[in-house]
Amino acid sequence: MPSTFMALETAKRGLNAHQQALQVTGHNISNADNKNYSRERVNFTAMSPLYDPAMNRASGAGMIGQGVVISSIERVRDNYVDDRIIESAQGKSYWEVQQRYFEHVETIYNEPGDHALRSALDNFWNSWQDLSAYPEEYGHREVVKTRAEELVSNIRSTFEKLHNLRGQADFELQATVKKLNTMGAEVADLNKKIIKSEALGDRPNDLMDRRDQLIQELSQMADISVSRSDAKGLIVFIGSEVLVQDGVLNKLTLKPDASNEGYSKIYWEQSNTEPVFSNGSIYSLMHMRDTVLKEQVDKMDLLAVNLHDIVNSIHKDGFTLTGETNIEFFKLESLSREITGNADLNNDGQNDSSAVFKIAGNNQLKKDRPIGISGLLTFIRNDENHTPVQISYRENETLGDVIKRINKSGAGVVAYMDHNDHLVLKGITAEDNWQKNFIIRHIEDSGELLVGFAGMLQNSGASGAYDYRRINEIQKLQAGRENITFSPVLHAAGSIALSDQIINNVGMIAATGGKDIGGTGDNNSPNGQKDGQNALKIAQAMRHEDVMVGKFNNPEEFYNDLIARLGVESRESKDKVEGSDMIMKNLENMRQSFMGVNLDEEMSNMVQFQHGYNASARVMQTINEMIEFLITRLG
Amino acid sequence: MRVTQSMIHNDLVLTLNRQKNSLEKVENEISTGVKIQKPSDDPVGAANQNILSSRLNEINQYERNAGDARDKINLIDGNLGQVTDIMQRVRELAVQAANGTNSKFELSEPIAREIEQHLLALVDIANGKDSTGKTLFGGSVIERNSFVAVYSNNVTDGNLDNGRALSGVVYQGDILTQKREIERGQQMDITVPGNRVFWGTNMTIASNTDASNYVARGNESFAIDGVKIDVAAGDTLNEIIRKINNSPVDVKASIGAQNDLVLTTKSPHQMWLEDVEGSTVLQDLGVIDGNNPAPGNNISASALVTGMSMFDVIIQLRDDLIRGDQNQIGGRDMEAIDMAMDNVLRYRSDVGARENRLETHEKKLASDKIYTQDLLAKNQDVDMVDSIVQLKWLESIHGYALKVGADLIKPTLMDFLR
Repeated sequence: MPSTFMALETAKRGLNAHQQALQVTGHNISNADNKNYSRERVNFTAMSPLYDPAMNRASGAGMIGQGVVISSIERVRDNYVDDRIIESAQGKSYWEVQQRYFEHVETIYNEPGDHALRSALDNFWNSWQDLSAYPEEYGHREVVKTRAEELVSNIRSTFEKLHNLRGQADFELQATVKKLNTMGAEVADLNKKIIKSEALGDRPNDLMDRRDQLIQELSQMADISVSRSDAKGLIVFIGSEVLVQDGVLNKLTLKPDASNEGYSKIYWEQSNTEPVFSNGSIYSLMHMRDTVLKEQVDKMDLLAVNLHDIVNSIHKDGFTLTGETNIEFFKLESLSREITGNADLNNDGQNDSSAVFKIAGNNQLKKDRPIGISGLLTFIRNDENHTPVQISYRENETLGDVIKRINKSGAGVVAYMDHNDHLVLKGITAEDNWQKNFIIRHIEDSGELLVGFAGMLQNSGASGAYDYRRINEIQKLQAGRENITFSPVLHAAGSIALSDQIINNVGMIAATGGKDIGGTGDNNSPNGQKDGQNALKIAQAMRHEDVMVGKFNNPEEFYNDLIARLGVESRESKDKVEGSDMIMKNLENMRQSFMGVNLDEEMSNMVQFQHGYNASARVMQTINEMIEFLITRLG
Repeated sequence: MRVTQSMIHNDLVLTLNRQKNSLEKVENEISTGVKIQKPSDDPVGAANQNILSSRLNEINQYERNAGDARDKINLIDGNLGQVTDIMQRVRELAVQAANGTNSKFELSEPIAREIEQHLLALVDIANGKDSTGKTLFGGSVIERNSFVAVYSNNVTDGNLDNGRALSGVVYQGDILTQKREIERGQQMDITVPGNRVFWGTNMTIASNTDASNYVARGNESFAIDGVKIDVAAGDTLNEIIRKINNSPVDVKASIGAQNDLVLTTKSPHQMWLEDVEGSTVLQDLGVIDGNNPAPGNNISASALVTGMSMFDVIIQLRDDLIRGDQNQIGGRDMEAIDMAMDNVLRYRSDVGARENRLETHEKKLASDKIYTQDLLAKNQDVDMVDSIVQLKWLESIHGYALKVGADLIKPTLMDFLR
């Protein structure tokens, strides 16, 4: 016969179970709005019934049930969807960072509009046109000076803002890496706790929720992946390298990189190697800082360097109101401190290179006549490997043909015919290291094109070649000192300005042309004051002549391309963010569908458990009355 | 599929957000009237916007330039008109004088005096100024008058006014023309240099220096009327003559009786000769004075120069009148006057043609401008009707979404449990 109090025990178990179930329901309900909470489900199981089939079982009807116990509090979570979300979060975060920064860049340029760089360039052009009609008037000169000041101040301020934006990206990068370390440490900590708790037989659901939440936040920062198969807890990877394993975090650290203007470079602290990122906000910030924004800064520098040279080379040939010549219009500090053009590129205190931006030949040439000579030009690309680029020329080609081929060849220089019909070679942006921007690297001619024909080099062949890696290379050039422009200091766009002479006296603007009397090689005799052809030449060079700003024909083309590209890249990032948003929303919904709390469901569960509780309590009451009757009435 | 509250909430929030974004965009468009605020709104449109705005600015500048050019050309035309009138009057006087019935007194007193006055008037016109007070006919030289009158006390046979009378007029300008850019790559000359329009007869310069042994030493060059002619080392006089005749300059070269270089203009103008960039070709050939090589009155003293400016023609007429030489007046002087008048007329019609061209060009610029503005507007301007309709549509969609959302997120089972 079963024990007197067995029914009581059964009822008690019922109460317990239902109370616990209500507790879990309450926990679910209060976490209904917690996005990272996975709902818990109680699993009721009947307790092992009496008696086990064995020799010593009691006699009587069996098996007798013993009531209900909660076998487990199950955490309802789909790890597969979690992993998909981790994947998508990386891309979304990458594009969000790109979009944010592109918006900043667009605000900096402030185009299309009437108050930004395009207008400044247009107004600058207008002022030279007006000056060419009335070069003797001070009023028109003042306008040229004012418009020029607007232009350079616009370039300088755009450069500064872009430069600062780079700094901001670096700052955000540092903060993000620190945050990644902090979260990684917490994940390691949780790993330890979860393992201990599971070893003790518990289900640490909330800890696991917290860990999943952290991993999802981490996945926004880098290309995180997770391995759940290890018995000692989650392993978190960045790419294929381990970030967190068991309770150990592999920390990331930041060090300033001198070859990148002191901006931070990321290392694994333990092994001092560089981690490989391929997605997420850290990668996006690095890309933004070191590629996108750097390109924008390079473009401003390109504009400044070329503006300075294009205007000055024409301006110096012209004459002021008082008949002076060789006056500079813009000023820009050179990289080289000496008249030899030698500079110290690797910062070891010793001059090691020749830093020249532009070389013009001595001889006047006709662009459309066959050149009548043949040979091979050798340049090198602006990359680390110094890959040679060779361009051949033949007798029946015109100089114009050769120039076109040089410009399309990727040779690290561009060529054009200047206003005096001399051949000019100019350096462009470096592909390897921005400190080598705007330096001509190598000029070599096996024949006479650059030597006797154009008057640039003194000798043909490899012995006469000009190479920037040696000092005193300008001795290899035939071109006179006024036909050579040295490379500018770093970030020309930050320091370009009007020359002091122009600022102090607008009469120094050389609007008038002149001629070379006596064959000195330089103009030395001005035309009458009413002549404004030099001003007209400057205007034409800004828009309609081929003067080569990088691989674009003139400043106008260059700027149009800059804005068009910016628009396309910014638009792309916006579109990608929208697309990512949709994908994330769908994945999130899938996840919520599985693990989210449905209040209606919980409500009905609550009612159900409440009834269960009440019913168990009623059973207990009944048994209580029965036992009371037995004790008080019998005997 | 199991649906939870947070899913409904998520959906609602995302949808409302997107609608708000669209609404904001349209509101922005309407309030600024501008479709493209940033390049990313429409990259191709923004690029077009850039190019078109620049082009419009260009067209405006060219309109300004063309208008300025036309004003100047009008002024020159007016001046040349006055010159023609004066020359016409001088011609009448010459005809009258050539008529055999005049006495010496009649020739020299009233007619010669009148002609002297016309001469002075002509010099004034030749020194005419434009709207900013700068000389019109001096090429690029504005620091001094284009022409300067030379007086002399020795006028042939009697002085007009106890002393000085004009004996010549010297040109002090240069041969550069002023240009205005009226379209991309198109420039127009808007002046006429004084050494051309105020000239009368063809000019001949014979150097009188035997050049049969002349050989050019190196690669040199010289310029006639601004046209550069290159001389290679070893060229003799014949080669140089050939090069001159093959060039586009309107001067003819030939060998004179003394194996000297003879240059003759093909149409009346004052020849402009100079050695370029340190060369000495023309000096060596005896054409230019080595001590005063800068052009404009730099002809060597030993060279023989014939040819008269308009002023010289009139001075000659005046002098013949004072002498009473009716034959010359009727013959040589009339011929010279006619040549001078033809010359002026030639330049007048050239100026007139330029005026016409400018007028046509201005019309073309105006229509280009309208076309560009049109394109800009299409690219950039918001179609108000379109945008407002879209705004209303978005607003109503937004309203529906809000209502449905509100209805969905409210009720739970709790509302119905006692």
